[in-house]
Amino acid sequence: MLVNRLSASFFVFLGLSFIYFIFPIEIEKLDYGWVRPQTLPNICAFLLIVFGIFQFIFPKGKVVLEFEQILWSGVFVSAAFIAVFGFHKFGFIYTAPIFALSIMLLIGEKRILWLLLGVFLIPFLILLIVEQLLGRLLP
Amino acid sequence: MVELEIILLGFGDAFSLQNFIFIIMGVIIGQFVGAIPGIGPVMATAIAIPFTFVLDPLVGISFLVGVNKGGLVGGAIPAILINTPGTPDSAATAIDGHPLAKQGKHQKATKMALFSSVTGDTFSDLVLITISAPLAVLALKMGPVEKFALMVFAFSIISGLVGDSMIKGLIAGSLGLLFATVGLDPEHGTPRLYFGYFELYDGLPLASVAIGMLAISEILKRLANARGKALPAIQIPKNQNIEDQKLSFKEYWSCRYTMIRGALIGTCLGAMPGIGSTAAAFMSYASAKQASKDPDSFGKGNIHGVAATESANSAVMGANLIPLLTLGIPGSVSAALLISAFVIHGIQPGPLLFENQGRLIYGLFGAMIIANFANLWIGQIGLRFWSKVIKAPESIIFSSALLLCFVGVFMATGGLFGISVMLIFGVIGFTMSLFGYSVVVFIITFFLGKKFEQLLSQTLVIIDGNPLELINFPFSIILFVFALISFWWLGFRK
Repeated sequence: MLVNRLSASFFVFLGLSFIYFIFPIEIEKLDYGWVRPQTLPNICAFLLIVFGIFQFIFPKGKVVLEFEQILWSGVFVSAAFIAVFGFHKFGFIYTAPIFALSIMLLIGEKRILWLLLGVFLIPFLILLIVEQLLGRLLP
Repeated sequence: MVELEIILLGFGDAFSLQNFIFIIMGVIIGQFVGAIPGIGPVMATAIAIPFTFVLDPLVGISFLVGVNKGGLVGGAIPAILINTPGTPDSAATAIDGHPLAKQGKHQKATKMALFSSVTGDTFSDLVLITISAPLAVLALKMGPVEKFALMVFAFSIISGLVGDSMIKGLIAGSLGLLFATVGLDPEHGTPRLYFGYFELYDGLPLASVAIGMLAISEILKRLANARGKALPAIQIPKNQNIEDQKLSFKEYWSCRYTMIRGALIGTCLGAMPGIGSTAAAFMSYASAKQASKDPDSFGKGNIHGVAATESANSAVMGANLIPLLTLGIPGSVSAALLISAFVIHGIQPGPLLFENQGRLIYGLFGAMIIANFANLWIGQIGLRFWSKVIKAPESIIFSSALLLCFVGVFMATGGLFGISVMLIFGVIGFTMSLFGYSVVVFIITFFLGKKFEQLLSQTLVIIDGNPLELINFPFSIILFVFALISFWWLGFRK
């Protein structure tokens, strides 16, 4: 229940920050027409606040939080963002095998054959399909 | 109505060699990925969408249909073999399928799953082909006010039925709508919420959001659970008796009423937005058990249990396209992905599709029927093969899936910005599902957001901002009342 209430308060806070901080800066305010640029975003933020309050008062739904799962997903997301940087700096050919290797090692894969397959064969096949068969460029 | 010539031309297109090859490829990929627990047809379709850019619209969409249909068949394999459904739709299949496998009859069970899946799917496709065009004619008579009311009604059903809490569904829906407002405002053309990134002028890239929310979030979940254990995705039981591996025609025929009932349930539920194939499968299972002379045998390896669930969950696929093609409202996440494929190929789903793109739609119908036969044919050869091939460890499956997501989004958006957006939405999707907020509701409202805003604007212009004017639109009032009832009833129920 506590976690449900916490997530509900996050959405209330999100709705309020949209209305008071983000929309005034990021949406040009117009005062003509029935549906103005700010109308639907404001409605959505307002709904987030209302439903968030409702969820806070009457928390419902199952939540299963595992700290370790969240921590590991953070590690994998960080690896993915580093890979995006790698694609930008060094390109797909150099980054993809290193990225695949890091993901496989993080999962715990130690068998050489599978590692070779994931690190060299899969990126090579992707390269072959995209650049040769589909005629599109990779980063 | 669509002319006969257009219908025949459409069906003719479906039978072109290129289309045929791509449907078969789609079915093979679908069956393969459907059999891998954690990937499934939805993730596979999301990843495959950008790869269809280079294809002709009909070929691309047929390929995606093949992936989806193949995935439904493939999903039954791990459900039967290791009691781990490859897709949520197959969860009910495991109830009787896995006990059958434990008795050494896994091939009998997987074959029944294949035949009943194809039977249910073909039935629902025939219903789709027969009734969608007349329904589209009716839908064309609806103006913006009625369409807006219908969208509100659809949102109320989807938020109420998907997930375990109505309020959480509504929060996810509001968030999806909010994200859909990023980019140029459709009425005034002023940019909104683009935070200095000019790439967001056209809104958040569909492919990035879809792949991020559906594929990346699921991969993250699986990766986080798989760390430290390089497990095979599937393990085949060893106690196999050769005598029990066949499915005779007599056994198939004995399940005919179960399959017809399942197909009817799947088709009816599939035609309603928001009710997924999982609900249809469980409902069909329950009705088969109720109708059986030996209900106690259910759950212990009754072949009727497999036939009931597979015919129902596959029948949902075709029926899901009824609201998509006639009203432009996707009934499920697979349909939402198909809508994004339509949009990416420059086709606007809705009742006008039959008028403007009749040939394409009948081509799609033809492709659906071909995909069913391909499913049957490839399934017969492949079932045994998939259960061997998918012994590959999760480490290789998910690292490859991540690379495919990167490449797919890069192709769709033409830059690394799209990949960053995809990762951000992956994190949002992962967090939402962690806290029990439906990703499906988010995606559907996100896809429909722009249209929703446009219809809201048109409605307010027509009624001149006066709600009392709605009295001139009685059908819309009925739909608004239905929406209120469904908010109240579904909210109360949950």
